Amino acid sequence: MEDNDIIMDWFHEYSDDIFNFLIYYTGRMDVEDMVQEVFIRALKRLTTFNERSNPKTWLFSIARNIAIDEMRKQKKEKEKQQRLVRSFDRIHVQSPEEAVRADETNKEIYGAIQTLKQNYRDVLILKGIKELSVKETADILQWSENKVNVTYHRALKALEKKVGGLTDE
Amino acid sequence: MNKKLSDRLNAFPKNHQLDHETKAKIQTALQGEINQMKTQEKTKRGFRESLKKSTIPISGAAVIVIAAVLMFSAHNVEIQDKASNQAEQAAFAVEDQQKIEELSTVWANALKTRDGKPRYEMMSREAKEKFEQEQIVKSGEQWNFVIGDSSPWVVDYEIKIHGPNAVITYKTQTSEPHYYTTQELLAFERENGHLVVADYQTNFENKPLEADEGSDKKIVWSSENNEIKLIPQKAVNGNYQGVTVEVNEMKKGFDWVFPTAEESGPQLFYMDVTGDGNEEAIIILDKGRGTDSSINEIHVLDNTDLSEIKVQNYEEVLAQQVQTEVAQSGDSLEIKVKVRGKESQFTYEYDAPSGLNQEELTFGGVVSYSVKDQRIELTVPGSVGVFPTYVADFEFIYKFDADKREFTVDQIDVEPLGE
Repeated sequence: MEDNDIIMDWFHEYSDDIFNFLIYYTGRMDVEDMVQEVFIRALKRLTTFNERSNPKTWLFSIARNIAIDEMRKQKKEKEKQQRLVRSFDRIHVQSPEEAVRADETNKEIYGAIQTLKQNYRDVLILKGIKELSVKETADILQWSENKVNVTYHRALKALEKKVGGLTDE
Repeated sequence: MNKKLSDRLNAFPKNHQLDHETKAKIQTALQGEINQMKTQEKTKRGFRESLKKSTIPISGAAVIVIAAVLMFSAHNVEIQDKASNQAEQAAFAVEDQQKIEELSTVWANALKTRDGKPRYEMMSREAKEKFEQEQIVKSGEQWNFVIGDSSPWVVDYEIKIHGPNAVITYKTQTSEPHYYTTQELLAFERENGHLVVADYQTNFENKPLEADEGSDKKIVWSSENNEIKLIPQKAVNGNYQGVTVEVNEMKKGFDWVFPTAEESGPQLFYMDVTGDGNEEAIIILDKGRGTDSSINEIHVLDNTDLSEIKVQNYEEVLAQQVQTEVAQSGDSLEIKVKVRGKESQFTYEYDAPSGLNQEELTFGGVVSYSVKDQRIELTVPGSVGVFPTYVADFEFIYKFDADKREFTVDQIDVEPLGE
């Protein structure tokens, strides 16, 4: 049972990393509950953790699943809200671009990332923005390293198409 | 240019930090979960002991105590602890069951009235500290005894006693009304001769009661504005087998099979892709992902009768309209592509340690459908190597052939993927 206490060590070590990742992945700043959920889910599934694996990539993959679930829920909730309160004033919600405190060019790049398909968003955020290694990214996404490289390359191409000449400066 | 873009991504700020208060709150929650797991372990042990006791006469408790003394003289601390626990369990079971039930009732009523004071009064010193911390997190340093939430509220509860532990299951409801269930675990011990709550945990909170009805979770996927609903019929060995599609209150079953993997829900689109002015239901299923593979399957349904409109098989198109040639030249590959008679050629940097034993590109590892500008598109990259390296994207754009009532490939674009 004392093995469970390792979660506290992991929390000290990786909570800010997970926090940053969730902000970029969801485009929201209020991801504290998701951070908590990541570690609670990890605690409950600790018996499934392979000790030879890297806790950091394991936690990132849990975080990614939680973020995907949350975004699905959010989407449904948004649709419901829109149906219910069409006539109400909209509450100001921080945009993803505001949330990531990006400068003008980065805002545009980040906005373009959000429009890409999920595979591309995954690699651009994990390998590009979070600067995880190819191996770490492959572990999280359960892809081969080759697939990470190819998809990253494609994702950059797709992103380049979207942002046009931004990077020619 | 990609290098610059990649550098830009690397330079995005990554210095967001959780504030201390949030960290403390999460740590408290984690510690609570850890304690809860420990309490559950204890409960199981207590329950096992109660069962054991039921087959032993009351004098058994005395035997256990004697055994504890003997074990102590043998300096076997671990066994002595277990024996003491057994004696303790027996004592609880015999004398204090009724008292535990009474205290648990007070505890449960406290949540009903949202007044934590009676709870606080029956807590051990450690449990009081825990309670205070929780209230501080909830309402700040000037904490109070208000517990629970205004909604959902407790309408009923049930208490079960297992040795020195109690499990309280609450039924709660909201005004809509929706019903939920919450469960708390209490662990009792003696402090200064009195029974006190040594620890308490919420096992689960506000679990919708509907979710418990039936063993299968109801899964429904919908298109953006809920025009299409897709309901899996059953899940067998990691696959959904059969689905029901609902469009405009019409329902139809299909024998489609796709993995239950939690990330890969179907994509549903409701738009006119035939150009007849009526929307079709387009369903893209993720048939599986694995190392180097990601395979989709597409279905297009007529919204008047949910009949399926054929989409030309990409393998047929590749076989009949695309030829490729691959030749290794040093550290690179010379790749020739002929699409509908039109030839093109490109080079791909490729370091194959054991040489490349293939004369044409391989397809099928990635089959990715999408719907853009009211057209169906398909990307099937061509690869080399046993562990595929994708060297070129083949983009198929479909159009609707009204005479054949079929989507056929109208345009094929080839895009090399070299660095």
